[in-house]
Amino acid sequence: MKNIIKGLVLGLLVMFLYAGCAKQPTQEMKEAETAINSAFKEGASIYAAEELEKLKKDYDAVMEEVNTQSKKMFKKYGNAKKMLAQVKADAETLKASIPTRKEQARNNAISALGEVQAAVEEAKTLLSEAPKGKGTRADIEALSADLKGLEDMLTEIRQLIEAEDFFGASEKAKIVKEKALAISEQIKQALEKLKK
Amino acid sequence: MRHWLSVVALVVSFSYPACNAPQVPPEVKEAKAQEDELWRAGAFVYLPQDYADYRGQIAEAKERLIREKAKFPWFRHYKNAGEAYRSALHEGERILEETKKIKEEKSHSIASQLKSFKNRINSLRRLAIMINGGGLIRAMTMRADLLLAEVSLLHEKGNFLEAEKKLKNVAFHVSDAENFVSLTLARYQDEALIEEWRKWVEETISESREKGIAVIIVTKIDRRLTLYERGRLILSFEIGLGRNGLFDKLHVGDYATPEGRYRIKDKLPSSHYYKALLIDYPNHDDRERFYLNRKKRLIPAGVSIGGSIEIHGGGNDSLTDGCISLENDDMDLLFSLAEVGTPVTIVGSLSSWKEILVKENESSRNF
Repeated sequence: MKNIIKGLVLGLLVMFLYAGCAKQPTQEMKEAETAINSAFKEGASIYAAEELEKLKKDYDAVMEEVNTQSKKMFKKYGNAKKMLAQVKADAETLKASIPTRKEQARNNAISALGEVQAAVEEAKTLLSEAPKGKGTRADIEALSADLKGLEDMLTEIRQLIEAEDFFGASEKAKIVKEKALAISEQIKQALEKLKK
Repeated sequence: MRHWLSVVALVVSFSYPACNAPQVPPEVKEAKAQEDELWRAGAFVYLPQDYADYRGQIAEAKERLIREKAKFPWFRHYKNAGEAYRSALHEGERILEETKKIKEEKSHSIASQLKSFKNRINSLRRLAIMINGGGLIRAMTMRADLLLAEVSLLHEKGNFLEAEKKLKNVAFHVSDAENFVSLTLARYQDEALIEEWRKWVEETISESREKGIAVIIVTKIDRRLTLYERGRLILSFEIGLGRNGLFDKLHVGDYATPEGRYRIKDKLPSSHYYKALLIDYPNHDDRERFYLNRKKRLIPAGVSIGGSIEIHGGGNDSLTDGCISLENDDMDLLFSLAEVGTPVTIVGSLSSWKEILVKENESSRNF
């Protein structure tokens, strides 16, 4: 029986020393942090802002766990390591998804630019076909000036695409397209009025 | 046997408190939800210092919680941590309320500015039409209008700071266009000139009353031609003017419509633009001014004073080379009532600049 108690005490002592000396998972922490930074650099804050924010919160939760364990007499970093591995894997998945999202945003912006160009061209064609008589000259000049203002914006949209601000370019393109379509509608209505 | 009992007692003494460890205060979970809510509300943008302090309080509360969690279960007391969390939650609630209030105020302010700029842009569009040669103003206005649409979109998305930034650009473009209009219409802000125009009109109507004849008054800014007979207003028509119609005519090819007291020189039943009434521009005053301006080199060398200014048909929404144009039906009526020798007084405006702006703003509100 004495041996059992000795063994138990020794076991407890070994366990205490082992757990008490357990080291923080610094390597895993560094790797997870690097993976998050890497996703950020890839453009996650632009193309996956919500997901990046969730990752940061997950990482904060791991840090909380590490902090809690570090203050315990019996330190157990197993769960923290698991969580860190998950954060790292999620960050890598997020990073891997960014180029596709970026490409999609670029394609959307280019397609929006194409639609605006077509809408402006249509308005210009309609305007060039409008009869330039006594009763229409003022309207044609005013609408031409409006179209000139819209054409200037095409350059701005191209510049935004070049600067990789694809969301900004798409939004601007949508607004310009709406205005161009409104001008076309105005021209069509004016032409209808002339026919009558 | 005694030893076995000691081992069991040791195990029980370790496991019992673990099962009955004090619960983590519910405020911890609430704080996590609140942190998310504050982030989504954008507290870090609208109240950065308060938010940083709040984060500090949360960090302190977490630290207390961690310290307690690190203890053996029977030594854990979450009272301090709970209090720290409650205090942080209280502060968080205040920040959330404050953030909502700031956002609401910004939203109202942006909405009201959007409305005001929309009115100013509509007014500018009308003024651009008024001064005919408003191509540049239209282009400036279009730029402002597009920016305004962007602001509207940002406002809808709740991105108020970005919306406010863009509103500054809108203000810049609108003011630019307004300054341009103001320069173009500077003569219409000259009270002495407006007084002189009023005098011309009063004298012309008096002549109509005294001689029992028809007279024609043209008010350029109102785009209106009125016919008086025996001093009484008989007819009023909307008219079209020259491309630079609001300017006073100085020489040939300036596309301006002359201002002065004229008479009908000839009635043309068939002209290039339906029927026409030719007026005696240039009169004595026009010639004097022309020679004076030429002397001052305000008029390019070799350029003549011009002529053939008519009141003609062809439609009132046109841009003429300086003539006054009417709808053909209106021209029929006017042609039948006007005679050779009928006085035609053309003025810029009878209203003060303030009255013009008020009228423009009212019409743009109804746009």
